[in-house]
Parts: sequence; structure tokens; C-alpha cells
Amino acid sequence: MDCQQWTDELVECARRGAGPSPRLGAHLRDCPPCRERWNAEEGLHAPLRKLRVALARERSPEIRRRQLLEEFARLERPQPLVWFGWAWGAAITALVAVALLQVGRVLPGRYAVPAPASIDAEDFVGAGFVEISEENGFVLVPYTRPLAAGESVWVVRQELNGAELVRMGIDFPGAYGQSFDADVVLGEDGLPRAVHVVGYQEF
Amino acid sequence: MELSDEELYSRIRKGDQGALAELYERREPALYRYALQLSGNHAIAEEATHEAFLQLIQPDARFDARRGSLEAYLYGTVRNLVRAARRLQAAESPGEPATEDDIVGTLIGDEMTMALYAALRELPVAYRDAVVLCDLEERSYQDVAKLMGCPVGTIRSRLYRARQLLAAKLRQHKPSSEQAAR
Repeated sequence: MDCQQWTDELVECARRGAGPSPRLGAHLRDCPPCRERWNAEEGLHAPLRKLRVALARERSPEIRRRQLLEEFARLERPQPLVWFGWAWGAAITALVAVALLQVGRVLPGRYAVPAPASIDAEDFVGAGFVEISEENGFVLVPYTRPLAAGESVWVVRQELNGAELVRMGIDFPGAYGQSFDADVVLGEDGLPRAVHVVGYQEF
Repeated sequence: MELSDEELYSRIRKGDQGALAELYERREPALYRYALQLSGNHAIAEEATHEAFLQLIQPDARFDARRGSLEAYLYGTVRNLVRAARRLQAAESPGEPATEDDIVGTLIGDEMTMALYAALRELPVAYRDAVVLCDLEERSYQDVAKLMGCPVGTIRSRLYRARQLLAAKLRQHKPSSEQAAR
């Protein structure tokens, strides 16, 4: 070991307040510069310890702690993000619910409460829409997949308005902006196939 | 199980006053002593420590756990506040030494210890930090390296050099009792 390494060791020994190890002691006896450093380090030990003890109990007065806690209690802090998360979740849920209600009004699906059927659904399946619709006052919803043979249908009654009929592709002159009760024929895919407006003679 | 500083901070952000009280109890005494060692002045130490915690509880506090520990952040804040206070003091009363050591007379009765304290105050800040944290606060090299944001070897060499400087200063100082005896 060279003197630098011995010095590292003696500094650590002095910091711990321990005496030199036998090997270090032997080196100190033979090396005046290291012995001088050891003496200097030992001289530091006692005043450093006294300084440490003198300051050990020092801390801010209790009033500072109280002031901090009072300040903390007064602080207006932004609501935690989790609150926003719930708020956004609730808002999105409400929006989806409203949207579903709106869609349900235009395209009543399997979740709509079926009104009593105004016609026999089997007639539609077997005979085709055109004849049946003419006979029963139904109008085909254009550009939709034809019902397959044996496919079940639902007929639901609900309130529609002229605009909704137009969006389905059914021309309903003179009735735009008005609301009607209507029987809507739905296929198994939940899409409307035909509409019968109840009690509206011009239709 | 004891919560980490960072976990306590996370609770503080949610408004938990108990977490703040716990963090304060855990960290304030050492921070205050550190500020006292840096400044040599009770008023500055008290103000800097209080301000560091005040800054921490603000909604726009700049602590970022990805950049280091909360303890390192607090030490850094106190260090900067003490420096700012000392600069201000020096600007307000140029020529006068920064507030004379009001702790020396009351806390340190021993002449050599007072000499050491004075010598400590004259060390460069980086060296003083090493002595204060390693020798006076008895923190490990690893802890101090984390607090100071530098490698362990750097702390070790700073401490080595600082102690050498302190020892040299103390050698120059002869206690009055020794002088009287001569």
C-alpha cells in the first residue's frame, strides 16, 4: 500500500473515532507525513463530536410547524385527477345514454319494448313487402337487406317524426316536423325494414 | 410500515395533513441543522427551512420524483434559500461579515470547537456540505452522494480535502489557555 491508500484508511479510522489498526500503526511509526496527518485527523475528532452534540437538539421552533400546518389547511388545491376521472366517466355515460335514447327513437331495436303487433309478421316473411305494405299501409325502407325466408321480425310501435322518416329514406311530404305513432318492422339485425304510420291517412 | 418520503408527498398532494406533519417531523430537524451550519444564523436557518416546506406544499411545487429523492430536493431548496439570504444580507450591509454566529456563543462553549466552527464556515460550500452531512449528520457516503447528486467517490474526496483544510486551520489556532501557559 502506498501513502495515499494509508491516508484513506487513517481518515476513516479517525472519523470512526477508532484507533489505528496494527498494520496502520506500524506504518504510522515509519512514515512521518502519515503520522502528521493522523495527528491532525485525531485533533479534528473531538471538536467535530462536540459540535455535533451542541447542535443535535437544534430545530425550528414549534410555532413554525403550526404555521406550516395552518397554511396547508388554508391552501386551495386543485381537485385530484381521480375526481375528474369520475366526472368525465359520468358525463360520457350520460352522453352515451342520451345518444342511445335518440338512436332508439329512430331505430328501435331489440331493446325497445315491443308494442302489440299491428299485423301478422308471418305475412311479411312469406309474401314480401310490397304487396303486404300496400295492403297494410306499410312502406318499405329502401336500400335495406331483404328479409330472409324464415327470418323473425319485430313490429314495434313508437313515436317518429317526419325528419326521422326522411333519414330512413322514406319520403313523407307535408309531414316534416310533425310527430306520429308508427309501427316499425325490424329484422333480426335490429334494422327497420318497413314503417306504418298509424292514423295518418295521406301516408 | 413506514411510508417513504415520496409516498408521504403523494398523500400531501391529496390534502393529507397528517402526512405533512410526519414528513416535517422526519426531515425538519436535520434540514434546520444543515441550514444553521451553512448560514451560522438561527433566523436564516429557520426561515429557509420553513420556506422549503412552504414551497413543497404549494400546488405548483416543482418536485419531480423522476429527477431525485424528495430529501435531495429539500436539501437543494434549503441550500439555495440560505445562499440567497446570505447574498441579500451581504448586499444590505456590505463590508460586514454575514450575521455573526449567534449560535457560537450560546451552543459552543469550547474554544477549539468554536475555531472548528469558524473554519467550517470558511470552507467552500461543496466541502462544507461534505463535512456537515458526513461528519456532523453522520450520513453514509452513499446517502450524501444521492443528496448532492454526485458520485460517492466525489463525496469521499471532498471530505478528505475538507478535513485536511480544517485540520490545517485548527493547527494554526492555539487555544488561549495554551498561549497563556507559554
